[in-house]
Amino acid sequence: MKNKIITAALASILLGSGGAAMAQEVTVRITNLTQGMSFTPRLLVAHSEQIDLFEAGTPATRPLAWVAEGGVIVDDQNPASAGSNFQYFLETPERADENAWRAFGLGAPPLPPATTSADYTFDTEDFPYLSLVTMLIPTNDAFAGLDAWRIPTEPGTYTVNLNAYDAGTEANDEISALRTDVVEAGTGDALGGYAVPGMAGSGNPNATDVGVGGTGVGIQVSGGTLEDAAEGNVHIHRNVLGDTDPTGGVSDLDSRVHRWLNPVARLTVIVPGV
Amino acid sequence: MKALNRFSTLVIAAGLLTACGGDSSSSSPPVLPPGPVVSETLSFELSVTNLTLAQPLSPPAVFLHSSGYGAFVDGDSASVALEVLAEGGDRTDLVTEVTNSGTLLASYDDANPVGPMSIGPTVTLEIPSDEADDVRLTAVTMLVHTNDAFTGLNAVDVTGMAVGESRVFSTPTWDAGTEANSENAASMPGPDFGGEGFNPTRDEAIDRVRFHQGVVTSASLESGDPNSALGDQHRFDNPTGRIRITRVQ
Repeated sequence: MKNKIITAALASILLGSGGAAMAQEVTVRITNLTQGMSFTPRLLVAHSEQIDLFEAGTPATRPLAWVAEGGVIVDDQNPASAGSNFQYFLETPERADENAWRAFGLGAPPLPPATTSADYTFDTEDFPYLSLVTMLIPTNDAFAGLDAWRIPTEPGTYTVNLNAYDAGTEANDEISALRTDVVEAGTGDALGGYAVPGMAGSGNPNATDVGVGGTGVGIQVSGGTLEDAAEGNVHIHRNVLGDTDPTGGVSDLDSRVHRWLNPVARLTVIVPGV
Repeated sequence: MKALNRFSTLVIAAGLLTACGGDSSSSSPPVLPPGPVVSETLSFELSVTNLTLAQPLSPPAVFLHSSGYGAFVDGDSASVALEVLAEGGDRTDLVTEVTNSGTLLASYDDANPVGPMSIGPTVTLEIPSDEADDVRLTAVTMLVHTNDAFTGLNAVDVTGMAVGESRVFSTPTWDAGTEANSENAASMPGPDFGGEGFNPTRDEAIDRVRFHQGVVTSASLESGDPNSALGDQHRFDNPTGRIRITRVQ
């Protein structure tokens, strides 16, 4: 946060001396297009070509894993993420001058299915690209992503569709984190969140029809434990499987409620006139 | 139609040449102002990303070509060349087809499949600058662990790209319509099954190219097919591929 203030101060000095640095405020809103998924706080980043939040076909970074497995962007959400979340990544000295970022929806309930967010005012500081990540809950490591979309310079209202990606960092077991009959293999830790199996957000206020008793989809429960397995690289999510058995079957998700098809979100960006 | 278009282009070109010739004979050669050197070739870098979890993409058939060639038409029956690729992952016949069409400008020549969740090699494609006013991009590659699914681009117009400009295409998934989606191990090639590739028999009820409906798999006990050799990991949602093209010269 300190860096942000310094950046803002520098910008006003430059403006005062007739420099070229400019503020560019855009209005942004996001629509959740799914039937049964909610969105964790939305990380919006305006950036140069030096910054990449994620790249399909390559391994997820730890900051991305924090978002995709736990919806965590900043230290305040989970102190254990300090030093490896996007707040850290985007504010390290070598990157701080290459981006402007905001996390929208912190401290508020997740964005419910089939809902449009409030309007966010976002200062892009004239960086050319816009990226966004937000976790789909309840899932293991699904996120809706926008990867380096070029911000239009012409005034107008623009919409862009977002697909659901799989971070590739956690097997899609589709086991509810509310379960107490299953723990992480080896550690005995409770399910859900970063670096543990199970679906974070299983108990979020919008989550309906999350069941119990599933035996596991991408990886199976064995002796009351789940391994923390991973698929590999970032890729397009194959969709959740689900089933119709709330107390058994393979998945704790409901196939009639929680499945989706791309796109899962629509971003509206309003570039104001001069 | 293709022949007619090519012919009228030639006629127009001949007319321009005639006009130029008459012009230059009656005046001294113009002195050109100093400026950037005009290159004789346009150079593009192209890469293919596999966005799926467990579907290898067969060695991609990727062509830059002038208009007049199409690897397929939505709603029409697939050519045998497309069938050979979509059922067996073999691009040979498509390469022959586009070469014989007389429209080929440059071909992507990496013979390796693009593995799941990975970015294939970046390949340079060069075309003569006098073809720069009509450039199309076609790409076709099989989702190997299926009966006849493929992804790609169908003669997309990439004319007029500036040096340094990149375009990224997210590619949907088609069904060639040439082989029933039995999802039997014996009918699907690739590392997971090693089954049959191309078979000239067309046993799908509707022998026309359309978007793929997705695989059924045996993953769901309720809506799945217990006889399917495909599992949860073989499922996919669109887009299944991404193609990035950058003009570098």
